[in-house]
Amino acid sequence: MKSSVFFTTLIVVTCGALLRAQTPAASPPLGRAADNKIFAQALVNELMAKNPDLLVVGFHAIAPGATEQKMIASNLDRIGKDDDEDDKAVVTEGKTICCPNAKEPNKFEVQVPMKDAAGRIIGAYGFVFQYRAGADEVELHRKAVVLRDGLAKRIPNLAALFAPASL
Amino acid sequence: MKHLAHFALFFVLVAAALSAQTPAAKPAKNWTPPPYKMQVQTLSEQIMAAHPELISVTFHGVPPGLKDVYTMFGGSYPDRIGNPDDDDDIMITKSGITIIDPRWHRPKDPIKKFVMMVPLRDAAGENCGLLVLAYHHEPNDGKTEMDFYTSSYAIRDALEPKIPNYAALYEPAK
Repeated sequence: MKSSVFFTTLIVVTCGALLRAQTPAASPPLGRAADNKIFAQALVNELMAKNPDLLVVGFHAIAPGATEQKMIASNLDRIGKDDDEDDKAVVTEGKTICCPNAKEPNKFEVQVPMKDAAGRIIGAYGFVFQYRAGADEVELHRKAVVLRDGLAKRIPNLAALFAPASL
Repeated sequence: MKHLAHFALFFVLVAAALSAQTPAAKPAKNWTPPPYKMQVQTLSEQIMAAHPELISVTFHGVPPGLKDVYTMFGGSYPDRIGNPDDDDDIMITKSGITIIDPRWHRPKDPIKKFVMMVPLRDAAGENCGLLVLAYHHEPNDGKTEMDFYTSSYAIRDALEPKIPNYAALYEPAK
């Protein structure tokens, strides 16, 4: 009995160690929007309150001192999520991407370069609008550009997005 | 030792001269068009004739009967027909997204341009490939990306009734 318990324990401990060794390092948990007390998040909250046709807003940028581009503010609890290649292309190449959602046809995303007050590209916005099939995609792009240009006037530079803010 | 140095110098100079003469490698084709002029070329010519603001138009997709062969199958650069598509071209054909490319920081572009990459649609309004429109664009010409977006959708939408189905683009020109 005693040796049976010993071997069972040994097997469990060994398997646990092997599993840990094979499992890639877990990513840190994503941050909650409510805990993200920076100016960028305050802008997101304001956008969501004033634009009922917006379903999701994401701000993407490389934080001062960081090397990787991430989600820095959003109405979703995904703060700190690593950016995809398309998010990065918006920043590095100045591209705009207008994207119907194949899985959720009521959504249409417009990714546009984020600009500061001087017109410099400092990140990317992802605006997900309510959409119905056949609706005017050009109009959704126009809305995204209007939102982007309105925000730019309030962003003197990249660092300002990370200034402390009360939400 | 001196002879060896001269020989090495000669070798370097010859290698440099040869590399300067070698043209840049062309991308391998992944498709060969049929020997006749296809309907897509007629549409391409019509677009270019009607829109002097364009530098080029190209059509991309998977030729009928093939699988996962994403290629440029028509357009105003006939020599590029059969060139494999880039990842973003394929993404548009697969998912129907639109990419607005201001060609930011592209010093190698021989002409300043603004590129619209929009889903190609048939007469039923279904996405069936990719249409790439390159516009003349100088930094201070007053045109906004909204202008290019609107123009490209107008050109794309005007094409729709001329494309009864995707395969018709590959048929002999009428």
